[in-house]
Amino acid sequence: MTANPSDVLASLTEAVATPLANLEVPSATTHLPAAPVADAGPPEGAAGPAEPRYDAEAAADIQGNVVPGFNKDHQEFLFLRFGDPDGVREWLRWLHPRLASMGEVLQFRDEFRSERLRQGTRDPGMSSTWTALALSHPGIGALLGQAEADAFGEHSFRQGLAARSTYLGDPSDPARPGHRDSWVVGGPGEEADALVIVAADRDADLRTAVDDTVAEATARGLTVQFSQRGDTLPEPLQGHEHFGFKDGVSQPGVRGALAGSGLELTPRFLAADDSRSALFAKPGQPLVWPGQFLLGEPRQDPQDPLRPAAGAATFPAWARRGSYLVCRRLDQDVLGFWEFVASCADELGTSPVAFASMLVGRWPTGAPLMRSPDHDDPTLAGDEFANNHFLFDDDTRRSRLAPIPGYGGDDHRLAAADVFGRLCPHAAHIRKVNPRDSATDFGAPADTLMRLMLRRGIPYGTPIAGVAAPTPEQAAEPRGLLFAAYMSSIEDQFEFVSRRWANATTMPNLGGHDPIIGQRDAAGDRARSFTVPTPDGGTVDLTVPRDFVVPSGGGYFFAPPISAVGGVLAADR
Amino acid sequence: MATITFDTPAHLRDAPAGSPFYAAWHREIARLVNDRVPLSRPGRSVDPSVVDLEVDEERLKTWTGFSRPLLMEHRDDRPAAFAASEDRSVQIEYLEWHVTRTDGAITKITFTTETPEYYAVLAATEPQVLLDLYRRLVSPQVQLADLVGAGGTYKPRNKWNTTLGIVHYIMPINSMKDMLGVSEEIQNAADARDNFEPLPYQRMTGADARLSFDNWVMTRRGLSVAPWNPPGLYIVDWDDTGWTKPDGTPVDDYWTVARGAEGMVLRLEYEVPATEDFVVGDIAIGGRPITTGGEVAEHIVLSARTVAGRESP
Ligand code: HEM
Repeated sequence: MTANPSDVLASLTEAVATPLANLEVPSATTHLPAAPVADAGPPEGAAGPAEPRYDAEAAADIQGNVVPGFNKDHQEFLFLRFGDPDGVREWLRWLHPRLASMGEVLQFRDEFRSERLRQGTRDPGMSSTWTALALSHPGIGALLGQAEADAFGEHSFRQGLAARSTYLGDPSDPARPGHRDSWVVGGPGEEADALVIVAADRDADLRTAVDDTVAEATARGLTVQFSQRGDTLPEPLQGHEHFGFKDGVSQPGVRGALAGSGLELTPRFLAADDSRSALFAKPGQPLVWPGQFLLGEPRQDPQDPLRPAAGAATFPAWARRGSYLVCRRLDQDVLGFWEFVASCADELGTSPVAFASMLVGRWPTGAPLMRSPDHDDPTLAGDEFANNHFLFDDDTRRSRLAPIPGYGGDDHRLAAADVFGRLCPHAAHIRKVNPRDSATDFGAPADTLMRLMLRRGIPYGTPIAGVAAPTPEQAAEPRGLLFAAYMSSIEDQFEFVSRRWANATTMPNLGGHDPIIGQRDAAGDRARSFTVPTPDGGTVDLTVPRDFVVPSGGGYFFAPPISAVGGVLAADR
Repeated sequence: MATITFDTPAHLRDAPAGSPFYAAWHREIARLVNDRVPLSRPGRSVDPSVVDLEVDEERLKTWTGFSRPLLMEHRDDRPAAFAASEDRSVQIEYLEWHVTRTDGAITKITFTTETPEYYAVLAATEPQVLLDLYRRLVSPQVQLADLVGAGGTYKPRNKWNTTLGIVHYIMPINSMKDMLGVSEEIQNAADARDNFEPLPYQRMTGADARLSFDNWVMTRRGLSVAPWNPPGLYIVDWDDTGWTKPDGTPVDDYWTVARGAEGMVLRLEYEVPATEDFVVGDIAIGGRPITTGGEVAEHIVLSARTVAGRESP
């Protein structure tokens, strides 16, 4: 008998209810991991060339949602249309001092961690409210003129998301859900001029800040075209997306540090004498040169990850240290997803949760399949030094960590090589969008580091995962992911990963479409296919008749450096 | 299992059954594949016509038809990369193409993955077949003397395969020899335990890194690897999602497989049928008009296959 999807949904919350271990809270006083150390010292010169140092001016200039990211539980995405440009400039002058900078957010994060350690609690009671701003190509044109807007080298940004929609695999048939004509915002002629993201720890703080921002904007002739509230899902699904899986587990580490304090943009935990410390911040978290996210900063070298390459140069001078922001409002058909999962699981003789985890590459708690092939493992999921520590193609070796107060070490089962995708299918979402150590259609893993993005998404809508018998009304409520990601090239990062990998059956590795986000539109045919391993050691090809993730809005934006918001963008012309 | 005889790319049967061409082709490939090469410890690559390989796995190695080095060189200026790609000598990802224009607008693009070796062996064994093939693929006006020199040697850079059309690769590092050679490349970091350790890898093409790294991974696992039979470079996929006609609606299927078979395409043509009132140059990819062949090549997926397993004692 096929499992009833709503039973599966209901059981999901139990699956993840086990309290997620929080590793930054000391649980013991041991210092170094007890785990055996399997690595020799670093090769000569492993430290590589110096990383950039950001002085106070730079730290105040870079927006804090780009680096290190707001990561707040409550956020509002305000899509705004401009009126009279002079009014917009006035509003920008108001907004300018309210934008949260990298320096500010880094400092908060640092204090938050210390407080957590000091108090020994998960929530040390600190809170803040932060705002981020991004402008679309038309928005920049309205303020500075067409020529200045066209000075952005990124062609996709100049075209906008709606113009690139079908290229990303969105439906080409206007009658289909997901077609750009039916988007709530960002469809043809409906592009927002600006996207403001307000983020807070507390709901009340968020409301106040949003009300202020909207009041100031509307008073100056701007209109709110669309506004979307995003919230982390309630316990026990906190931090999970609507299908029920923990999100935000894997992020690239940004190289670089603050000039004064030496505080690293991404904390480093590998011991200096571990050869991988030159390449990874935490086990499995690769270090990426900041120019992959910030215009004008040193970027990844196409061959050598240790060496920086010149930054992008095709943008107006004032845009330096800004970042492109891709925003997609992605509706999720949670019931449809679990119905599909339940029927496949039944056919293959496995459990729905195990099958769905193969589609994601992680279990609902976030534990990677590569390290826990046949059951979910909340402890592994909660161990930030273990939950990304896996390769796909080779056996993973233990890392040597710098002393971490309270951390007992990673004694979870190590990942074993899975070159042929018999454990974590090549189509699994996380293997598609970040093939890690595997070679790809663009060659060595040095190339993959040029494809990574800083993801800043948050779910919207009330969860249905965990609801025992959802009513049709509950089922039909809008819910999904406000996908948001910062990068220095939309075409080489977001679009590359979406079109060439998620939407392809043969890239980065043969194995089918990404069953979560992959889209196909072959003369209107949207059926997708992928290969999964079977319990008997073989593989089977499956077809997904329809989409479970459907775009419903968004836009391509540019998050300017804060100095430009009070400066060139707000200056009278 | 037993040792194998190398077949022609995509099992082509250009020459009549029983022709000496087929044995000559096998010898040509066997000459290019080394019996045993240690790639990364503890496995190795082998010549499956010499070594009896118990095949457990098959791996499709895929890469993009457009030159990665050009994209990296013109990282912030894609149009410059495409403009540069019009020259066959920089079409180095084992895909070469010929663009036909009428009054400046592109009307047809012909892509090939065929190797000079194949045509050289044909010239040596079946000159008439060679001539017929050229006439069919490029022009009825081709003469044998255009293709074969005085001593009977094949001229790969003849005008029908360069200025006037395309039949097979001419770029020096696009060949069966190169594909098979790169597949036998010895891992640059002798003791590498994963794909990060052979970095930096100096070859910039997607294809070379793909061919090498995938083999190193498999031989690190103790497997023996060998070229799949029939060895070849194949177009395995192409993607025209989001390509639009001048009226903004999605394009129809304008692709023609002119040689090879599904999954093993050797010659692929892109041309709008005469019944339509527009040409290839009027099509837009994600909102950008096609102005070069490279913009189409970027959406073509190339492949080579490898088999892996254990050597029978
Ligand atoms: C509703 C749509 C989506 C859902 C439900 C979803 C779900 C997930 C989940 C559960 C994870 C695992 C958590 C983690 O590793 O951080 C993940 C990771 C990731 N997703 Fe998505 N995702 C969605 C859309 C997208 C889109 C549109 C992209 C970009 C094209 C994307 C790119 C990524 C990346 C890069 C990772 C990290 C992979 C890694 O580094 O291992 N996701 N996603």
